[in-house]
Order: sequence, then structure tokens, then C-alpha cells
Amino acid sequence: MVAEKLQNEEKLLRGILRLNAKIFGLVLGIVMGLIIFIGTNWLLIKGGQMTPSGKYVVGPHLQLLSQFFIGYKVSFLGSIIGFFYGFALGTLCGSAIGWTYNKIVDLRTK
Amino acid sequence: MQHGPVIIIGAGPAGLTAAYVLSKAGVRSIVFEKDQTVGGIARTVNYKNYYFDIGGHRFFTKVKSVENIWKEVMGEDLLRRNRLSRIYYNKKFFYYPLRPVNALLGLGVWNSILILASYFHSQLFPSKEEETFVQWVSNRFGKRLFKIFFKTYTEKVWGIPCNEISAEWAGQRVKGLSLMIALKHAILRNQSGHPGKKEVIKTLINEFDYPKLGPGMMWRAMAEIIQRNGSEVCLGKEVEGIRWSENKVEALEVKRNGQIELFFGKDFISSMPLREALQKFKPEAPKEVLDAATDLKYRDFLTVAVIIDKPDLFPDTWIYIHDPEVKVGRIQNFKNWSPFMVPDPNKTCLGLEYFCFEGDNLWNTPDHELIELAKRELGTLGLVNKNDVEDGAVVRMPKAYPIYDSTFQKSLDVVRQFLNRFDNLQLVGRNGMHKYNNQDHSMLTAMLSAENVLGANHDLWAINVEQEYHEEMSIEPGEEAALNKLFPVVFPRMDKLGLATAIGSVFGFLIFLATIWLVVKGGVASFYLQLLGQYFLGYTVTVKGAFIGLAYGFSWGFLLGWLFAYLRNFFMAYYIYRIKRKAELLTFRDFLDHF
Repeated sequence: MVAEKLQNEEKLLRGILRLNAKIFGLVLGIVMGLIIFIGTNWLLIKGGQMTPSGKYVVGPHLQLLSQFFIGYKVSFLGSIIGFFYGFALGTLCGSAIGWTYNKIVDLRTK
Repeated sequence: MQHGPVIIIGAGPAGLTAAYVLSKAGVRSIVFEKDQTVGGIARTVNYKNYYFDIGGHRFFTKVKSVENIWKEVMGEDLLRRNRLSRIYYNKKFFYYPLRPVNALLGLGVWNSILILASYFHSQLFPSKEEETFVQWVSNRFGKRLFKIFFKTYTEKVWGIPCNEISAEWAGQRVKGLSLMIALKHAILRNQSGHPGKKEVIKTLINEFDYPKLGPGMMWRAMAEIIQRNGSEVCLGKEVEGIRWSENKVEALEVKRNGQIELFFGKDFISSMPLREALQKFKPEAPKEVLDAATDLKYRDFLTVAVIIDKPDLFPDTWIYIHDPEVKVGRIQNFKNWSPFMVPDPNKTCLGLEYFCFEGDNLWNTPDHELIELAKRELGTLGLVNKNDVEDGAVVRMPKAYPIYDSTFQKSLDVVRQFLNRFDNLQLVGRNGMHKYNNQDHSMLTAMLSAENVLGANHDLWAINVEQEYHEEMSIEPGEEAALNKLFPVVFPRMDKLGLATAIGSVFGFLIFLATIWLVVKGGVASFYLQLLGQYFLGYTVTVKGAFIGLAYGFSWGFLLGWLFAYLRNFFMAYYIYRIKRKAELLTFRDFLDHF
């Protein structure tokens, strides 16, 4: 009983954390998706500004994301498209981080 | 199993509970008690209608079946009482675990600073050897705190200097302290899904039940029920011998009117001190078993109850006396246990508890001298003016606590091995098992022994009372399973190099891809991405720049990942350390409670 308890504590204190790559990817995906979604809608609520040429522009810098995320715009529809792009990229990055981390831990603990 | 008269030795909480459970199941039993009263060390003494308890017995349990029996027997006579028990030192009261403001006010600013300095010194430069109790505690709390809050009381309880008590013993006292359990409790306590649990914990700590006229009331009532149900409780009957052959106990020799009578039974339950029981075996137990039994030691104590002509003295139910200039170890205020314990509301009855060994000077001191000693010490402590003490009485309680010394476990194992051969003898209770059972666990062992007589197969030695007492709440099996799954994925440390490399690789690769994408596609975004060059010297939106970006991205990602993992491990380790320390502190509250 005591031996088992000590073994469990030993495992807890000496063990190395593993990441669940899928969950890590999913979490990062949701976070990135939400950042883009909220960031876009925030700019829409805040409103844009007139350029010297008399054009009404909303979030010109965020709009640059469309260079990478084709179809993205600073609009409500764009925020939804941006969410999916962010989600996809975050999921990929998160999964990649989780997978790489676990591989390195495996290598180091062998 | 065939039922018949069950012979029970001892009418303390364990013996009576066994008889009670059996009588409810329609099984007749005979209980032999050598004293003229029931209750064992949980008895209540009546002196001129002042009731006093020997040692203070809280009715506090997490064992539902035990609680049910208390309620069944006592009904409305079981009062819910608030607990307040503080340490009295240098004419001031201290809470345990220490509360900063209370400690600061009580000990003074300078002393508090010295205590803190001593604590940090012990943390930075702990004693490398941990062979004695002094070193063990000082390493955890600092030398100064040890001297004030542990040394004197421990020496009073055990009667030997702390530097002669092994660290192993201290470790044994906290062996039930499990980091895993402490962490589980910490997590459950903080869970929003358990709004009621905090209240439950608070209640368990701050309240307890108590019979109107002390624990003896419970045992007297239980003895009456047992007898009404057809069993016998024989007082003033000392067991002189336990007759056995092969793997059976056959009969008890009991002295009645100067004559030895034999009582035969099918099943035997013994709550008498294990050492004494082994010495009564006929024929004699083997020499090595007898030697082992003789090695089991006990600490005894005596209570001096004094009646004081004052309505109120202090609000505590009991106080621990840490002052070294007095011999008293603990003072019970019986009126605060139950107002019905004192017949006149304008008087107070205090019980001064002195730890001693049966036969030592204190034990042999005449009663009137002990009462004088109690008066003097109350005056020295500044609690009572000695002229206010009207009357007093002394009760000596032998074998109050089994001693867990460095050899007891080995001896106990030898004794148990010998006793295992008897399939009709069960040992129950604190002294019966030489185990720190409190009242409720003594009862639990007895209940299970009775169930064994009725056909069950419980292992009475498997009840882990030490561990149970460190816990303030129970964990549901479902929660336990969930936490067991959760722990390996939350608490282990994160591999810094692993996370740094993983984040560095992904971050570098992202910059590389973004750059290459813009190199291929072109467009206004190139200008903005180029701004990275402000931080990544040499970076441009070109193929070469993509590789430079990859290197920079990897480096920064690596650094951030390493820092994140380092900080995460640091804070997690600090969290675990805090939980462990808190559990250790609470363990020592249990240590105080236990004696």
C-alpha cells in the first residue's frame, strides 16, 4: 500500500508530461479562430475611417490577412471565413507542436 | 457459521459496539469488564454531579454506520457543539495552524520576525541529518517554531526529550500523509462543481456531536439496550486467563467472588490491551511471542478535575498547554463540551490532564497533592486564581495510548502472526489492536468483528485509520477515478527542450511559408511583412530572407517555448510544494488532536 503510494508519487514527480496533439491542436485552433473572429468584428463595431481620397475603410491592416487567407475580408462574413482559416491554421500548428514535442520526449526518455 | 454466545472482553466503545451489533442481529453475547463502569477510556466520571470525560471524546466521524449508531442510541441527547481548541503559551491563546495576525499579536513583532527568519533559515540550510524528531520538525518549521509549538507538548505527551525521539517516529505519524490525496483534496476544494463541500469541510473541522452528559452516557445507554436484548454486561469481572488449544480459543477464566469460573464460547472478541491479553494465554504463548507482547508499551495519564467558582473562564472546549514551567499537558473545559456537565451554571469544571507512566512519581502522587498541583499550575498559567478552586477529584487512566516506538511494529507483527492461528478470536479497539484508533474507529473495528461472527469476512487490520484522520473530506469513487486519470496528464513536469524545439520549429516554419508565399504571389503585404526586419536583422521578403526568417523564428520560438515550459514547471512545483506543506501542517493538528 505504502510502496504503491510512493510509486505513484514518484511517477507524478519524476514523470514527463505528454501533450495530446489532437486536443492541443483543437485548442490552439479555436483560440486562433476566435482571435480573428473577434478581432474582425471589433473593428466592424468600432467603425472605419475616411481616407484622403474619400473612401471609407475598415481595418486596412487586418485586411492584409487576405493575402494569406483567400476570401477573407474585414466584414461579418469575412470574420466567419477568418475563423475557419484561423481554426485550420491553429489546429495544424497546435497538432504539429504537440506531435513534435511528444517525439522529442520519446527520444529523450528512451 | 453457527451462532452462539459470543464472549467479549472489555466494555469500552469497541466491546460494547460489538455486543450491540450482535444483539441487534439476535446473537447473544456476554461482555466482561474488569472495572465497575462501562465506557473504557471513553467513560464519564460523576463527581458530586459534575461530569467529566477522561481525555475529551469528540463524536466526530466520517463513518456513516458509526454515526448512525450514535444517533440511534442517543437520539435527542446528542448535542451539536462548536469546537474551539487552541494552544496556550505564555499566557496567550494561539490557533493551530497558526493564523498570521493571531501569531503576530501573541508572539510579538520581534519574536514573529525571529520565527520567520528561523523558518527561512531552515528552508535554505536544512539539517542534512534527519535522525531525531527535533531535526525532522525543525527542517520543516524552523527551530524557533519547533521550540514554541512542538517541543514542550511532545515531551509532555511522551515523557522523553525530543532529541531522543527518532525522526522515523515523526515520519510514521505522517505516513498517512499522501501527496496524491492532498492534491486531490486541493483540486476538489477549488472545484466550482462542489459548492457544498467547503461547508462540509468547515463543519467537520469546527463542529462535533457530544452526549449531554458526556460519552459515558452513550455507553451506559448502549449497555442497557444490550441487556434488554438478552445479552449480558458483567462489570467488575476481570479475565484471568484465556484458554486455548491448537487454532481455537476455548474459554475464558473469569474471577467472580474470589472464585475462577470458566466461560465457554464459540467466538471471542477482545478489546483488552494486547500485551495483557497475551500474558493471560493458557497454556502460555511461545516465549518470543510473549517477549514481543511485553515490548508493546503504553502511555498513561491522569485527570485532575477541579471545580471553580467562576461562571466562565475561556471559550475553548480544550486547550493545549505548551508552557514548559508546568506539567499539565491539556486542559478540558467540560462546561464548553456540554452545559449539562456542570450542575451549577455559576461554576466551571476543568480537567487538567497529566501524561505519565503507570507507577511513576506523578502516578503515585496522592490525590490531595495532585489537586494542590493543579491549583498551583492554574495560578502559574494565569487561567484561574487558586482561591477560586473549590474542590477536585483525580482519575487515573492506565494504558491511554499505545506507544509507537521504533520496535513496536516488529513486535506487533510477531504477536499478530501468532494470533492469526485463532479463527474464533478477533481483536478490536485501540488497545486491543495496539493502534491509534479513536472512538469511532474502535467502534468500526467492533462492528466489522460482529459482522464476521455473523458470517462476513472483513480484515480488521486493513482499516487505515491514520490516513483517514488526515483527510477532511471523503472523495467519491467517481471523483477518485477521474482524478487518477487527470493527474498523470497535469502534474508531471514539461520537457523544456521538447516544447522549445516544437514551438521553435512551428514558428520558424510559419515565417518561412508566409515569406515564400509572398515571394511567389507578391502584393502589398510584402511591405508589411518586411517590417519583421526591424527585429530580425537581415530579414527580407525573398527566398534567402525566408531561410533567415526560419532561423529567427526558430530561435525566438525556442526561447519562448523554453521559458513557458520553465515557468509552467516552476509554478506547478510551487503549487505542489504548497499543498504538501499545508498537508504537513494539518497533519500536526491531527497530531495534537490525537493525544
